[in-house]
Amino acid sequence: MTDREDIVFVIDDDASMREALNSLIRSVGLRAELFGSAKEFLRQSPPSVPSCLVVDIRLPGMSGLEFQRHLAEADVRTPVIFITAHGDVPMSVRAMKAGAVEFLTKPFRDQDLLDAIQLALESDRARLQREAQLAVLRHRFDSLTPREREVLPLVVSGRLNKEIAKKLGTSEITIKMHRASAMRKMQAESLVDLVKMAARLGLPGTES
Amino acid sequence: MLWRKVGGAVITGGAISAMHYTGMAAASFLPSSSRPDLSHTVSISSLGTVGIGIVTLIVLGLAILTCAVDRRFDAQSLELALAEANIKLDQMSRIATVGEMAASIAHEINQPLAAVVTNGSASLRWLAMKPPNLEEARGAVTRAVQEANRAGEVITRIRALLTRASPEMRSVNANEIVRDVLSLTSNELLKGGVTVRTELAADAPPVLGDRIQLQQVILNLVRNAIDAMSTIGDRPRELLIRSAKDTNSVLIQIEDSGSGLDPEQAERIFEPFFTTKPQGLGMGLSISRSIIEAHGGRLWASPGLSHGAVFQFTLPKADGRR
Repeated sequence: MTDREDIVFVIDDDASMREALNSLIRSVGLRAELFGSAKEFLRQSPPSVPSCLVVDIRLPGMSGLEFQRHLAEADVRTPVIFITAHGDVPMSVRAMKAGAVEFLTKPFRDQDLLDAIQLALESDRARLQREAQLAVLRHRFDSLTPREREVLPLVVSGRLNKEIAKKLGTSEITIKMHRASAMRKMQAESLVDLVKMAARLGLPGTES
Repeated sequence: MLWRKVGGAVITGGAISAMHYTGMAAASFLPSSSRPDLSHTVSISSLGTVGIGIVTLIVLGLAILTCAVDRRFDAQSLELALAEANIKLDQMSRIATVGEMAASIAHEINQPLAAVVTNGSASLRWLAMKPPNLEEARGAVTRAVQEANRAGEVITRIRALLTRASPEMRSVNANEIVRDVLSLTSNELLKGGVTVRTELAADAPPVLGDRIQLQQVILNLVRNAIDAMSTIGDRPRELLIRSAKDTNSVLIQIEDSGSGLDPEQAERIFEPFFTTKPQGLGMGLSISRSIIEAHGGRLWASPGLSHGAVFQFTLPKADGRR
């Protein structure tokens, strides 16, 4: 069972379907928030807790695929599960290509929807964790001095202190100090660790 | 079409040049005369000129005649084309209506059905809890019942719609309908290399029916026959349509020399979505049978005597039981 803070956002213009989905989602101990239209959902700020969207593809005023585009534009990366009354293959292919987790045709098996929801929540939780870790790394990187920031990419690209010193026109001992200081500030336990962090930050000299 | 136009052009051209010649001949000046003061008098006394005048009148008459005949032909073929287009349009709009209706029925029913299923599953889950959450389960079941009623209302509405769109029953001549369909399919028959033979009973009484619906049935059977014969190469592709009168009904038989009918499939082919064609929907015969049955008749199929298949149906006489 998942955490209580997880939220399933239901967007369906049919009030009775919305209520039915709400009941089903609550029956497995999850929290649901209901919206009658895509606009209503987009008006609020992006969720900060693990969440997923259950969306009827025939929304009034906006198609499901348009909705996906709006989400991408607003940089909302919450996973989407589409339910539709009459999904055709090309439509589902486009939806999946645009990043939908699942495409269910009404009426669907409750277990199929709940499985898709669990999967979506897990992937969203992992995404949030990744993003949080990245934010921490970025914060640490921001605390480096300009000189340390210059040295770091050279270190992770595997150059020796002597080479770096020559390249930057300074002494080997100074480089050694910058390097130690950068390692400490980044809270890297080893060079390997530092290389991994640099890759996640997308620094030059590493492959991300 | 073309020969009439060309013919018309030649005759009209001849008429114009003949008139021109006559005019020139008639208006020729005579240089010497017994009466010099009338030197500008026009002479029309020469025999040749008179002859040319007569020929001109004949040619002109012919030209006018061709023009009139051509007009009449044009009007006739136009009328025929218009009638055909009308029939096709009517059929297509009916087919389109059926298709649209099926799609909207599917959607209208599916929506509440999905809510019923979801509410039902939710209530099962509430009941399976330890202890069961009866309040939530009751809520879900109540909503399921409401949604099931909503689906019921949709069906009632559709039924009302269908009764309004009931066929127009009139006294119609089955032979005429057969001929209508054969003229509509003449191109397809030609392309399929099919020879058509008809043995229509002249004394067949009128039947009570919807002309367009009956056209659809015969059209469907003729098209099936063309398809069934499309792979036949070792014998003539023959379509035989017979009509015969019975005590209380008229019988129409459509026989082809096609690939034939598996006796085991003779009944299955009337089931909806059953098809032997790669691109078939499997709806044609099923709809045809329901149309004939709605007319109080019967539609069935049997293998042909040596090869091919025979499809036949009966239609009650217009002045019969009803």
